[in-house]
Parts: sequence; structure tokens; C-alpha cells
Amino acid sequence: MLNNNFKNWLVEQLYQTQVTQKFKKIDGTETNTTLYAFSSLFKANTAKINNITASGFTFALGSGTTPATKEDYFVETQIDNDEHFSIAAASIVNNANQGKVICQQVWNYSNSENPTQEVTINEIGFCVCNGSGSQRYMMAREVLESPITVKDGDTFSVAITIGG
Amino acid sequence: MAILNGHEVAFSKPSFNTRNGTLEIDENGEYEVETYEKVDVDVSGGGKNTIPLQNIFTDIPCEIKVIKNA
Repeated sequence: MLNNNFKNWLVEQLYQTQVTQKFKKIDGTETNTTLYAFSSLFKANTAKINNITASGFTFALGSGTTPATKEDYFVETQIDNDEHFSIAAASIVNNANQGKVICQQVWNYSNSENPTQEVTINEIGFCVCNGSGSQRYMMAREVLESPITVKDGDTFSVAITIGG
Repeated sequence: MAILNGHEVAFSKPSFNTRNGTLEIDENGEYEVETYEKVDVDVSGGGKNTIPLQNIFTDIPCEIKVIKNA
């Protein structure tokens, strides 16, 4: 579900210029800023949300199951913030003819110390970074209808399609 | 450009109808989004329509998928 951050960005597009808006960072703090050049944020990036500092998108993984709302500013319970999860690749598909954009990443889960330990992913947050470690925003969150469980050696892809 | 009900929508110079009839932006360029009720848009090949802003927001498709071992 696209959230209020995305809606506020959309209003900026209506103005076709930079307009200061209220956005909520992933830590919940509200800031007055502009994300007008959001298109420039649609860049493939393999950094996780807690490490990303360049303009680009990334996903946050969580175990929360509370249904998504437009007021959400981050995943309910983050689980990707450790060394077991890593992002192997990222790509973006802009399909102007169909009016949609697809952002995707390939993730690895590696846990050789506890190879039988399983982790369940219930929720995904689509996040962008506005070129600074202090400018991280979630634009959409989804609770998966079919959660996936990963363990040592597993690979999975995460993709968001907007529009189309 | 944006997508509205599956059609590309080209926004003209935005003209907003607010509850007060006037769009006011303060000296910091800030305003309250919630005061907007409708927005005039030029629909490609279809002339100008007035559409509630919230409808534009909710009509944008969004889907997140996770596929294991893919």
C-alpha cells in the first residue's frame, strides 16, 4: 500500500516543482522537505536500509503482521538488520509505455552457524534514500498474503510494481 | 505523467479548488494537503476533468511480491 509519503510526493508532481512537504522518516520523525526529484531516487541500490546513504531504493524486511495503512512510516518489526541478510543484486524497469515502474532486489540469507534456523518474512517496506543517511523514507508497505520462510543458503527476490 | 484508471494523465498547471476557494501557500512554501478537495487535470485526448485528489492517489496500482529461490 502506497503511504502518505508517496501521496505527498505526488502532490509535488502536480506542482511540477519543488514544494516543501511533511514527510515521515523511517524512525517516525516528521520533516519538512521536498522529494520532488523522486524519479532520481529510482536507482538500483544494493545497500540495506540501515546502511544506504546514496540516492536509491531498497527494501526493508519485517516479521510484523499488522495490516498496512497509509500512516505507516516503516515496517512493524524489522528483521533484515543483521549480517545474515544481504542484497546480491538490484535492478529497475521503467516501462513508460505501460506507465509503470518495477523495482526489484535479489536477497541472500546466510547462516552457517545455525543452518537449520528459519526466519519468516511477513512484511515488506519499499524505501528510498534521498542521498543522505539521514534522509530515509518508506513509500509503501505490504503484509504478504503468503509469508516466506528462509534459512541458510536461500535466495529470494523482492519486487514492487507501481502503476500499470 | 501519472496513471489514472489505467490511462496516462498529463497534469496541466495545477489549479486546486480548496474548501476556502483559494489555495494559500505560506512564505515557506508550505500548505496543508488535506485542504485540497479536487484537482483539475488534462486527460490525454480527453479534455479537462476535475478529479478528487484522493481518487488519484488511491487509483495508483501498487503490488509487492516476494519469490523464494527466484
